[in-house]
Amino acid sequence: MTPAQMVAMVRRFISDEQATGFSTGGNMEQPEGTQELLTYLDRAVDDYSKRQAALGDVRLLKTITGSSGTMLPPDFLMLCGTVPVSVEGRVLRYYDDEGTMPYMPVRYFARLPYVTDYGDTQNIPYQRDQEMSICALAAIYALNKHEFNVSQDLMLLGYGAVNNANAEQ
Amino acid sequence: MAIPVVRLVKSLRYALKDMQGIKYSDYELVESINQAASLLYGRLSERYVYAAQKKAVLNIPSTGYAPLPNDFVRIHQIVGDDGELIPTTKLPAVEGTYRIINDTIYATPAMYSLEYYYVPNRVRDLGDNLDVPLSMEAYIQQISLAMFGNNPALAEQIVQQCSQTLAVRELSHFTDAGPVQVLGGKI
Repeated sequence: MTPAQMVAMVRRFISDEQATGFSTGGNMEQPEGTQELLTYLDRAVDDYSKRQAALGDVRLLKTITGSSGTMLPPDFLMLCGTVPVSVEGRVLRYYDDEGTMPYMPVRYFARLPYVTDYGDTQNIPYQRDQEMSICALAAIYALNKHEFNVSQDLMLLGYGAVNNANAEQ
Repeated sequence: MAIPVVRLVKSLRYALKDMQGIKYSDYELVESINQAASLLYGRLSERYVYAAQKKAVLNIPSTGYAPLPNDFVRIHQIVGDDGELIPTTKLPAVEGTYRIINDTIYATPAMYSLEYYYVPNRVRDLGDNLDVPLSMEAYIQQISLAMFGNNPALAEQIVQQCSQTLAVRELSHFTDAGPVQVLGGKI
């Protein structure tokens, strides 16, 4: 699916096929309309990836074979299992007792690529279920902007109920 | 013969229900295999189980000493052309005697046959081989699992079982021991 198709799907989810609620256009300085929907999509990618990583989704696994001083990849979410490295800031450091190469590869959960990383006509390598979940989540963010009650939508996606702001803690 | 580490890791992952490697990294499993091997071989040599023995040719140069093999734990015997050497406390060692200090052996310059108890070298990753006979594979697996599950008591129990099984491994000519067994022989 291309970013344009993703936006079209979000519009279908929020009944805005005619682009009346979220107009076409917009840019990073004035994020409204399509640009705003793209921002919601990126935010959905973020949340979806973190959630799937916590659930142990193997499709998010990646491997780095670095050495001490290697920067963490930008899509790094968390390490998979206990590995002989420590992370300071965003820099990897190996506990290397034997001092020989090669280092053991380190597996980690990676965030899916952002929708805005791709051009309008480029295909984003999501799987179908990932596209659906991300678009549904982005639609919830879009609806929430207009202060619709989205708690039921979130529950349908398995995200649990959103606490009422006035509820007793 | 040696056991490929990848095969041990595969069976550990199977037992731990983590074939995808989501919960545990390869490093954790390799570490528990190392712990298991050193525990098992430490105990085997403590109990003089011959299965933990190795033989090497030792060349003592004219300096009168040589380093011991790096997997050396304790000596079984050292034999020269004139027969077995006996331990001494005096240095330099005279003909027919030897002395071990730390990781160095002192004896008169010659070629010797060294029999010793060893502990397998640490393995590092899935491509390595653990220097252990294939017949030990099941024990190493079980001990690794016990170590991984932070259960040293269970590990010791399996080690004990393994020592008993292996204790008479090198001896043949055991016939039916009869209903009562005393030191492996018949009453």
